[in-house]
Amino acid sequence: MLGKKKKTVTNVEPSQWKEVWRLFCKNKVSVVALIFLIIIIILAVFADVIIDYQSVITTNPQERLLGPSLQHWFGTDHMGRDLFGRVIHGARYSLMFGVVCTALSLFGGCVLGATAAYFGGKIDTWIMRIIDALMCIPYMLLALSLVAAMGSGLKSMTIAIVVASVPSFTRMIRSVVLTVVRQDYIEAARSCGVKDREIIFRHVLPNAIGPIIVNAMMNVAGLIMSAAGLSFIGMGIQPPTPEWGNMLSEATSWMRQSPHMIIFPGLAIVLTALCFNLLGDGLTEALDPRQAER
Amino acid sequence: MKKKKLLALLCATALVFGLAACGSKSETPSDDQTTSEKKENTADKDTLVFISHMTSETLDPLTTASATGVDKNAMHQIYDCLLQFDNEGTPVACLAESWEDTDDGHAVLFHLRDDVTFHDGTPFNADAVVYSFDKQFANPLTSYITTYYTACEKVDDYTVKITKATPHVALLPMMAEGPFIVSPTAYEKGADEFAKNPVGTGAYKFESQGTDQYVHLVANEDYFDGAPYYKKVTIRTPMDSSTAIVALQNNEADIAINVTPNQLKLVEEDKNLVAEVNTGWSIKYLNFYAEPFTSDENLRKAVYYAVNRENAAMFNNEPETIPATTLYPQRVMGDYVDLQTIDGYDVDKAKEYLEKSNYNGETLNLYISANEASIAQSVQGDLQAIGINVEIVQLDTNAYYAKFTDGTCQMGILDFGTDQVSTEDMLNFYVSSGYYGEFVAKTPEYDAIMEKVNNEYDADARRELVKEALEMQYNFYNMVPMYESYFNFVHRAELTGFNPVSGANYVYYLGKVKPAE
Repeated sequence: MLGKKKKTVTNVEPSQWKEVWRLFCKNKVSVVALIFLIIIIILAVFADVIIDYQSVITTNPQERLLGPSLQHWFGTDHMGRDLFGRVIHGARYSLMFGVVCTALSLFGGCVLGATAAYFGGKIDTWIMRIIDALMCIPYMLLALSLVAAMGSGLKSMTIAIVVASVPSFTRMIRSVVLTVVRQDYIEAARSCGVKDREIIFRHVLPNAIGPIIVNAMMNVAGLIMSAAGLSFIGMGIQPPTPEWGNMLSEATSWMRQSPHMIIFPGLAIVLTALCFNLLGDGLTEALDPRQAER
Repeated sequence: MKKKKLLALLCATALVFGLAACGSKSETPSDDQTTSEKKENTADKDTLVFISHMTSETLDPLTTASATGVDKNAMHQIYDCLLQFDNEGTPVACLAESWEDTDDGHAVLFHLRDDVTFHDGTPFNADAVVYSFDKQFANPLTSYITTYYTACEKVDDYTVKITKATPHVALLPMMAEGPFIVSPTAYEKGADEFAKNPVGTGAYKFESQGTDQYVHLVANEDYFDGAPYYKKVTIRTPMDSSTAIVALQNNEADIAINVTPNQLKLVEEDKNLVAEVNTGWSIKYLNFYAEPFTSDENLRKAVYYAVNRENAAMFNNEPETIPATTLYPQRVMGDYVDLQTIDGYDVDKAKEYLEKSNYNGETLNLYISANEASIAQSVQGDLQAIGINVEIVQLDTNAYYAKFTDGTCQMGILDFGTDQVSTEDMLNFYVSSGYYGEFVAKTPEYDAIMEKVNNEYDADARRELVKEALEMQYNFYNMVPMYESYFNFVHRAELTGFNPVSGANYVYYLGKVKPAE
């Protein structure tokens, strides 16, 4: 409520976040997922320290298609490059892509969804009809068309994925915000003459943040796989830059002779996506007010 | 719920590691079959199954161009051409049993067989040949052939005269690839009707084409060169190479073409399959299409000497790593092959020319299609080793070829060459008015010498002019010939009768295929 500190899970008071953390820790699977994710992030951040970038893009004719060994933990690929190094360097692009695209899509979705839900009427109608039209186009097809028009590469891939993702974020945020804007304290704020922008960003969105965070977390996993999918068909990150989807694409031709080339990047994608999903599950339970009452 | 998720995670991990374990050498399905049992598999069958490289969108060869859904693999079974390829890739008799140049050397007389009939029973003769040629001349999609031959005239019922457009046209190989000779009687009923029921003189007759686009053919028992062994042929739509190999191993197919080089290793390990690998009529090139290359000769030379051709071939899994020693493919150069030997990889020379060039450290682009990713990375590594920064840009095929002419593509990798071009044709691509003329280095002297080449009908005199032109073109360093391109096809080991060379141009004679003795 306006002017009062309501004891809800979504009010950002230190003690409440401690409560959220306590509830989260009760979910052992989510905690394991978080630990895995932290390890992956640390490997990605310190990739250059662990293994030099040049060595993972430089070809080596003498060491092609070697299986896993002490010298090359994940083996080498068809160009003689160390696969372990390429997987951890690839984590940078995949994680960065997933997080950045989610953040940008979230921002776009928040602006459009919150505006549509808050103002309603014609504004809501116009925004949602445009969103509906965009959602008629299959997600991947829309992303592919945009990449084809703009050319391949990280920048155009990011723009394409964000544009293709904003509609679903908008819908999700709109539905969440709709439940908040109908609250009495929002009506009270309006009657007190508080500006609309202030109401949206100070009262509406903070009270809707819980489900938004959960959905965003799960979308990171989906966007990592979308990036891998675009790179798999040659429309994303260009060789020799290590990116998990690109690596999978190169490995498909070698699947029978050198399965390690497809297993390790595939595992990386699966584990990362799974960790984000499990994290999202854990957050869902931790942010659920009914859990706080236990 | 949490236990179920943990269980799911453990199962997924176990599955993945299980797959890894299965990745070690495994026996092929029929390794332990005896030779006679294997023969039974294929000899018992009355249908030969061929996995093609493209879907056959039409079987009418006269109203379409080769780029628009015409599957030559199907065409060469239903139709014949005037000539055909032998096992060395040399054009030999087919519907024409002999030929000779006219006195002035401007045309060739082809003497036709008089014992051939079309599938509809009508006779094959000079009228049918002229009819087929005239249709090609009239079709806007194929009228470009007038740059190679300008007319086909009837001399008598079994003799035609084909007039060359230039003295150096590779007329004989062209006549082994087209035009396909159709039955005028059948074609006059209407092109649409003909496309549904094509009629030629080939070893196989058209039976049907299903909604799956598979083409079904039946043997022409009255074929002039002998009835085929296999009574039926099915030409299947393309599939991924690894899937095609599995289909061959499971006896679901008999022949697959254009298998990716990395699959050939699997074929080597399987006694039931044979990979026919050979060079064709093309070389893998690194070409220059725009600035700074067009005006910076030293930069072109630096790149020329920096590229390690052996590594490029090895990373692309070619069966051999033999660098190109001629400017153009050896089969194309033919008798001219001994006129010139070109240099190859030399890092010291590369660095020396880079020092002299105007290269300012900018990142240059290298455009490729998906098939060239490995070679591109090899080239990128070679150039970076001497200090040239390269960015690889991968495009789909149509966009890739469009990039050559819009001025944004600085370098590109492609296969270049075909049996239908001569050395002189290749040299003509680089004159001022040629296909690449706009964005390559050239001089008025080069244009002048090529003008002489194009009008010199004396073979000896033309040879000397070609030698001079080759030297000039080489010294422009407009391209980096890396290695002769290999092509392959894989077939069941029990089969024989394949032409190992013509497949480079998708010319397969399935009427000659039969079980080995």
